[in-house]
Amino acid sequence: MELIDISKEYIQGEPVLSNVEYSLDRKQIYGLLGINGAGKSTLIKIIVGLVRASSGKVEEKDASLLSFLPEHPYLPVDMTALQVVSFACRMRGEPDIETARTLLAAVGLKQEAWEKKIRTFSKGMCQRTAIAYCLAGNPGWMILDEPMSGLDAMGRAHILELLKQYHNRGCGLFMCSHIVTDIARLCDHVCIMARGKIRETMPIKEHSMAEAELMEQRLLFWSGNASL
Amino acid sequence: MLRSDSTRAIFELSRFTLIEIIQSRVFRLLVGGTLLIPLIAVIIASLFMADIGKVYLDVVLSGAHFASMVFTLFIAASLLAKDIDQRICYIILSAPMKRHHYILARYGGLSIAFAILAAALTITAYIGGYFYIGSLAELYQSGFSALMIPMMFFYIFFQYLSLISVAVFFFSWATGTAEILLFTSSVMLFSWAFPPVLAALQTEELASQTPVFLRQLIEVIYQFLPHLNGSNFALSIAHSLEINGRDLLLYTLEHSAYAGISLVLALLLFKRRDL
Repeated sequence: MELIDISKEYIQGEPVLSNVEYSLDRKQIYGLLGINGAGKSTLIKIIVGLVRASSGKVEEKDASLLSFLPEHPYLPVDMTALQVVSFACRMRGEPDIETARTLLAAVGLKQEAWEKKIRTFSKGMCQRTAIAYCLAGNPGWMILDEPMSGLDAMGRAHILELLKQYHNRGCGLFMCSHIVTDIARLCDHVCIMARGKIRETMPIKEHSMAEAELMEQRLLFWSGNASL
Repeated sequence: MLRSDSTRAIFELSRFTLIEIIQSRVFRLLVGGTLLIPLIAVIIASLFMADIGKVYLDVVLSGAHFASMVFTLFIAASLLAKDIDQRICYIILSAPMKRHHYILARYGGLSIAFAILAAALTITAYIGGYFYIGSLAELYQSGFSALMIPMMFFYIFFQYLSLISVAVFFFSWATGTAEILLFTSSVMLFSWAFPPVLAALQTEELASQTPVFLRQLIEVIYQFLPHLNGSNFALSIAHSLEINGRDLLLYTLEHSAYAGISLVLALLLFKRRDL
């Protein structure tokens, strides 16, 4: 996937993104890091087609399924988790109920919750359901905006492992998060965004705390809050 | 059965929308509440000494309008508003789904749900009329024909299809619940209020006192609104008169065309919108 010279202005003269260029390879896991207002969510929305770029374009080399997990995903509250995930399966041409059950089990949603209305769910349960929705149809790319939001430590570890498994099966991952340690644990590359531009990209080799700390320092540097 | 991707997307989201509505408490209450409409109509009609059948039809028709308005504002417009406010459209559009499929499918699901409500209204009104009014002596039955009740289904259904399409149109560019509800209810209000105003302006005395630009403005605005009075068709139902086939055809075409135009505009606007 190629991001070619992407710029976005919601209000004329106030760019949210300026000439973003980046190339994404499905064999790698990418993390996008930035402080609030850096332009991460806008970039992600442009990639998934929810927002139109003022200029530039996203070019996909293969027409694979692109799946998107929004930040704080809201789901129709009068539907059950099984109905919502079944819908995604049917939309993506998969046998619905059985696949939906497999996905809900994979994300760790307890079986007794599958047929309950989403209205009764906690934030973590909603997040797991949304991740299952996202995984339906074996997507070629998953674009994840804060995928660990609302999950406890065990849930985060479980979802990180699940995402790794999907990646090993050939699914490209592009993940945006405020949590540096999650990015350090999962990703192979990190892009640091500040004031509408990708300022720096770094490979992550050891997935260690030291790398997480370095990333945080670089993030603060580019965001103008540190004296590096 | 093999279906193309587009058809499948529209079919699946329409089905999803229908299930979403059927599972909502307000819709179930509304459908359950349709049982009360004929009952209330019977009680009110019983207070009259003659033309009980006509009173029954009038009350049933008013009740049907009330239930349909509740559906349009509190089910159709609210569901669409939630898609924007709570960003449910993000997750649905990432299904993946094209935006014009999204608009058509949401409208399709809402229309089918409304058809269920209109059918429930018709059946309960028919049963009430058949058992109560049908049992009365001819003198009291006056103004009632059970055949007019199925006609009521068409009358209500097409009229509110137009209004639901108006809600979809506002959804395509509005920022959330407040705007969608405000604009849809305003269209509803003006659609009901303008015909009597226009009729009144036909009188010479009032016409002479009203500035020309104001009369023309009211007429122009009226042309953009869905015509909810249903002219002769509504009158025929309310008075159990024979329905002219031409009136029925024109009525159906008018509302279908109105809904079609609103949807096309909604598609064009929603396609270009940043979400």
